[in-house]
Amino acid sequence: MLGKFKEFKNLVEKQSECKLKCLRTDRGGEYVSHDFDDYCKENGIVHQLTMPQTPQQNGVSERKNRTIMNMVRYMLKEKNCPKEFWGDAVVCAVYLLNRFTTKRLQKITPKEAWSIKKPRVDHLRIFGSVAYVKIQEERRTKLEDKSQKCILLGYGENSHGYKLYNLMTKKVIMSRDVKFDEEQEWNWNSEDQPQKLIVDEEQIQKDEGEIMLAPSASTNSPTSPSSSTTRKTKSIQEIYYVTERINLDDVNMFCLFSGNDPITFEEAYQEDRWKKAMKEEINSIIKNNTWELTTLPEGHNAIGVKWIFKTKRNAEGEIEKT
Amino acid sequence: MVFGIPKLEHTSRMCEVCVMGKQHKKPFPKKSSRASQPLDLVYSDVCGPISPTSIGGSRYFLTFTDDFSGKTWVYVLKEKK
Repeated sequence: MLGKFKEFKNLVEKQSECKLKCLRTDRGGEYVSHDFDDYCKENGIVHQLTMPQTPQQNGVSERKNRTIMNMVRYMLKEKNCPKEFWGDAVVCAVYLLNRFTTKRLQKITPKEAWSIKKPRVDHLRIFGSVAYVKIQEERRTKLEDKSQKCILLGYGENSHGYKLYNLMTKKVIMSRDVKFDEEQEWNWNSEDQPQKLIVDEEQIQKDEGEIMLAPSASTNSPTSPSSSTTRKTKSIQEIYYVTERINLDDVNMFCLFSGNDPITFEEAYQEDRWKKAMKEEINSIIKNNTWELTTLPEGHNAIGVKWIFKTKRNAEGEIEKT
Repeated sequence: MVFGIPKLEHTSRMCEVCVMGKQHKKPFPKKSSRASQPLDLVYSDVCGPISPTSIGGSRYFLTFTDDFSGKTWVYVLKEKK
């Protein structure tokens, strides 16, 4: 602890060409040792101590800790990283905070206030993203993979490059030749292939389910099974329960409905094979006595029914049934 | 208004019973001014212990915040001392 303080003091005094004049801390054992006290006295540093049980007097530090820990929890959660990575997340969070604007300064970042230079931010990537790191030529043979899979843990403090966790060797490495897939997340539990966010798939299934249950006003004309529910925005979905627009920006969602199957009844009715399929379906409904025709009792509303058109394929991908 | 209550005379004398039963933490002043140059005032604190230990075996982190710029330096620590 005292070692780190000396390291910090040397670094910042050299860089800013200013002298550390005053240090505000609480009365933790690490700050009130004889060694620490002696060091402060030797270097003419005023060591301001808070009153016992009064962390409010060190509010700046305490608030900073809270900000950092909030960021760390979020960063680990976002990519489902194991909690053991908190150390790197803390360092990364501070690196980011020094490059963000803050209420205390007017339009500049702490890093800029400190060193005059405007910090770069174009290299910033999502913590915990899957990264492909180029393997140096001399470390591989001609036919070996040219890159290895790693996880982004942060940035070089004094060097232009990224700090990464090598999934194969389980070691932290530094590199500047990195390609990122910020969408991807590593599955830490099974440690096999990384998957696209599982949560999203579940959400999509759930969205579809809710739309199926939503009563449609018209009884026979099939409505589009698609919806413009964007991922992760439940509130909008709740407001616009069923809408017709397909969000073309969202490739995943779009792919769900791009299997050449017709979406509306009018579309399906154009094709003979769908007409035939519908006729078969109606015949089997009649044959099985699934429903019987009746008159609607007064004061009741009919539940909507719609056609879902889906091509069923066998294992070889040939069309088995429509 | 209530009538019939005798006029009480205000006393500035400290009442021990009141202090014993009612004393509270004094309010904290809002910070009035920032440091005028780097390193005039630096805040420091240790956060932890954090469980589980990090992949490097650390349980604490130590921060230094410069009052002038707001820039923070952080060190992860295995031990507090």
